[in-house]
Amino acid sequence: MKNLVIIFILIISVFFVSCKKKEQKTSNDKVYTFNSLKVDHDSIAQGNVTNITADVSGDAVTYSWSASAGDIFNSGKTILFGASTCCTGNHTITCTVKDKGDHSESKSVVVKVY
Amino acid sequence: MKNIILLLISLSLNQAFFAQCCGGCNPIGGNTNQGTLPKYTLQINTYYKHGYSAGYMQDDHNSDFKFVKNANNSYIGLQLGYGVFKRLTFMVDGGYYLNRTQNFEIQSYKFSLNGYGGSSITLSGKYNIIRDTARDIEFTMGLGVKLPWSKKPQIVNGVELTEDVQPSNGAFGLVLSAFLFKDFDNLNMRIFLINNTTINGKSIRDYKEGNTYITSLFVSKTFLKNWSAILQVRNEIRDFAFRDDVKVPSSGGYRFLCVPQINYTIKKKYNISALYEIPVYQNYYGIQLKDLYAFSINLNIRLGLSKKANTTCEKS
Repeated sequence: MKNLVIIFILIISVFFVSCKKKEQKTSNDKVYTFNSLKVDHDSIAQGNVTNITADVSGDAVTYSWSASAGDIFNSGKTILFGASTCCTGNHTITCTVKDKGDHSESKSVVVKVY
Repeated sequence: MKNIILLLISLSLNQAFFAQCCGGCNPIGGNTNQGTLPKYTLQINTYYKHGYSAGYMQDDHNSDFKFVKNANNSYIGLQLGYGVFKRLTFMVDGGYYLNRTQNFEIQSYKFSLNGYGGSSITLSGKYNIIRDTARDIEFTMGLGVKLPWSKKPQIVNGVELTEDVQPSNGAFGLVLSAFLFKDFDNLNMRIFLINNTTINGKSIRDYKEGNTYITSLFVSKTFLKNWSAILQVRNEIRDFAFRDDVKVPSSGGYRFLCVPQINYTIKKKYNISALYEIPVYQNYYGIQLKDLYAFSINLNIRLGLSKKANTTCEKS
């Protein structure tokens, strides 16, 4: 009986230790590298679109996109940016990458709509 | 009463001072033809509105520009009014977009952007300035503040939506209204002239919707016991929008609409109405998406919260 209790305590201890290590990893280590944000055309006519791709290496991340004006289609690593007649001028498109440990990094590109 | 009017004015001035006021996002329901309510009377007005747009216009003619194939929105609104004093009515007006959708067809690809959620809440007061019962004339003015449901732009699937499909414009606003009413009792006919002005502020995205000035003339005629028909002729003017303090050239314009409406009254308390908005003439600045039609279904309930109010309601 005594042995069984010791084994049980050991298993529980291993479980807590392993959990703790995992928590430390997610809270302290950034698990990706945001290399660049690439735009196919940095100048487009009204009513046209261009691809914008986030070049990210590493573990699972989420992508958030915003534009100072214009429309963003699709989601994830690659989106399409377009603009109607509302939006001539230079517009900043920003991609924010975040991992499970809440480490976030943003990069922006400027697209001219004419 | 004096204190309440002062409070309302000061609230409005505060909003106008700190923010610069916001946008006419809320569709216009079928209950705009209302002056003040009798004292202790509660009015509940709820409506559903659907609008559809397709194609582009440049000034007052069609344009062959292509981007958004079509757009539609469905909106439910709730308006509560209460006659606080004989001449003063308080109103709360809010709404929710079930959808605000744009469908695109670009280079043979099809996309859709869809926003949904609370639009704005308007708190306002209406004061009856002239009530001439001998000549059946009423003149009422109103003042209100428009509060955004949310100041943060809506994000769907990690993508921040464009202003055109955001349910709330994210900015404060100031609303002014004037209401003139004349009853021709012997002809079973009533005429209303209404003006609504909305002064819009900036959102956190530094976008300011254009101010709107809406003037409507209503002619209402009772033709059967509980049935009445209303013909509304409306003029809408919208100023240019501004982004980062720069004028957006393809924004704003003016148009005229014809809005037939039919009402059915039950027990003098419940009013069901349906209306259909037909643009007669539209002139947009630059190139913009064209509104084709809109329709609304309204349910209006008027409850007197005291015996005295019930009597007044039945008279009015």
